[in-house]
Amino acid sequence: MVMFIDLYTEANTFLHRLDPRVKIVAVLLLSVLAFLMTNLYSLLLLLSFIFLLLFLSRAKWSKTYFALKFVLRLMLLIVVLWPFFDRTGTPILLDFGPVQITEPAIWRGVTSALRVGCLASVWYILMFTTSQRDLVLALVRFGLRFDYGLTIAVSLRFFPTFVSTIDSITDAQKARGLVFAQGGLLERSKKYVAVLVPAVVSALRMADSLSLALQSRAYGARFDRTYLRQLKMQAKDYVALVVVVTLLVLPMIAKYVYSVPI
Amino acid sequence: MNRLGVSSYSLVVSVAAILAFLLLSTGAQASVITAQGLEAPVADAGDDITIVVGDTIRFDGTGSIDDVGITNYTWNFTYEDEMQLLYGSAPEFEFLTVGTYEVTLRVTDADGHNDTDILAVVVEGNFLMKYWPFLLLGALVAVVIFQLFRSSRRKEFVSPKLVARYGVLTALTAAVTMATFVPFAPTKGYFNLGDSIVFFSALTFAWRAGGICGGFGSAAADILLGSGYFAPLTLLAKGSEGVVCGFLGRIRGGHRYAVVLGIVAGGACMVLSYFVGELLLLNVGWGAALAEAAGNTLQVAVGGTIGALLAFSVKKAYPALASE
Repeated sequence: MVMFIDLYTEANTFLHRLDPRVKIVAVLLLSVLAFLMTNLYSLLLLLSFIFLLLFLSRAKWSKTYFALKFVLRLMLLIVVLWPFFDRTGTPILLDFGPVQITEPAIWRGVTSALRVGCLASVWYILMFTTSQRDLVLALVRFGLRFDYGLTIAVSLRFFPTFVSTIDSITDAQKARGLVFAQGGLLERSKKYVAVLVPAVVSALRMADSLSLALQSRAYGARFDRTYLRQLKMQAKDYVALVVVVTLLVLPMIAKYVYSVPI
Repeated sequence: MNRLGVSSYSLVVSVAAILAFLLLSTGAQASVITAQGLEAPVADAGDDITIVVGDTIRFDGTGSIDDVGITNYTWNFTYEDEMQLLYGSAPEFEFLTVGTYEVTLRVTDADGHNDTDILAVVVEGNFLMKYWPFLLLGALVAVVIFQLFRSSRRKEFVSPKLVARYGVLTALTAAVTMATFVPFAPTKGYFNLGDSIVFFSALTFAWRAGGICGGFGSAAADILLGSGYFAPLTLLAKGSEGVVCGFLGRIRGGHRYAVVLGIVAGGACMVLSYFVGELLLLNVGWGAALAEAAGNTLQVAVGGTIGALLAFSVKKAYPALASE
């Protein structure tokens, strides 16, 4: 069931061409906007805007679904369970002694679930359109130390490797007669020890040879290292930045200066 | 006989007359009371009030006057798009939403006459009260960034050994989070064994490795799996899990009881961080937060058991670690 999918999809849309730093800032600002909004309709509007951007970035729907799967579960949980714990509001729909379900509570649950949906899907804009290399480069340009950035790059590089290592160890143990789909929770989990011990040992061996490789390539020789790829803000990046900042500032003014409920 | 008859007649008449007088006088008295009650009450809802959000307001309608006595006070206003009705001369209400509310007091006296008065309640936002979870998270992030920048002035690199180790362990945590799943648990549908690698790193390579690989590895898994909004919370929850377990689990050279203490305390950090964060930051409601906490507790229990097993058995399988 679980297999590794890199969310990044190669394409040549304006979102792909945008500077990754602008995209990181945009994701953060749109998240703040989702937190500010308390109205069901404004959150629906924000969600449809996010999905419009996803559509424009030519995201594959299978990948969107793969990513959304984890969020949909939480959203469903919120909608179903919210009314049982929120008993305020007047039109009471159901009354069974301790359980009392009111109409406004249901809507509040839906609103909260929508906010979580917005917060989740806004990340896809960044993850679908930015390669991991660009992400690390953007973080380094934001002022992250190069060696910390390298650590992140190393972990991103080895992530799919280890996923396939674990898969092949699992297959090897299955071939030796280990049945994973049997027994209770603890029993099933214990069977994974037989997978995790070899996986950890192979990871530690990998770390040892990697540190030798780093030393042999003169890692840490100079602090002012240069990069093959340079990030440079262009006119369109500034325009996008201004648009995103406006998207946050206008609703903020409406909410805090003119007390418009959004 | 006749005389007796007359006198008994006059007796009946006089009794009737007395009764009629009594009846009439009572009736007159009753009509006097009605005449007094014709005056309508005068409602007084008190002065306009300004409070900060979260304060409980005590309305005061005791200034209302009536000649026969007010029998009913009804306070009526719209709060969060809903009609609110409060009864009594001095009811209380907690305002949790910023705004200006027009509260109408309607007083009714014994005879059904009534009067209304309008009171404005201005609820002002208290920045600290409303945003403290954000401020708390912001402060934590600020501390982390400050630490990063402080260390960025250090003119030496992280050793290649550590870069490789932290990078690989972070990747391993993310990979195990993704690749191992046990289809069970009422809430998650499945749960992962990522915690076992966090505990393993913390117990084997101390708190720094536990914090980095736990926090960043799990947060990276969140981002790569498309739950990026969870990443800051995960960074805090799993990072603290690794740091606490790394501190406590290695007391007296990793004594048995220390390992158990470290896993329990670290796991508690993770479950609590998620619970509080989901409740206050993401506002998922008590139901979903409790359901998640139950799933997380189970996950930590299993992950902790396996993590401790890993810490012991990997040392045997990879003797190079023993020299650390």
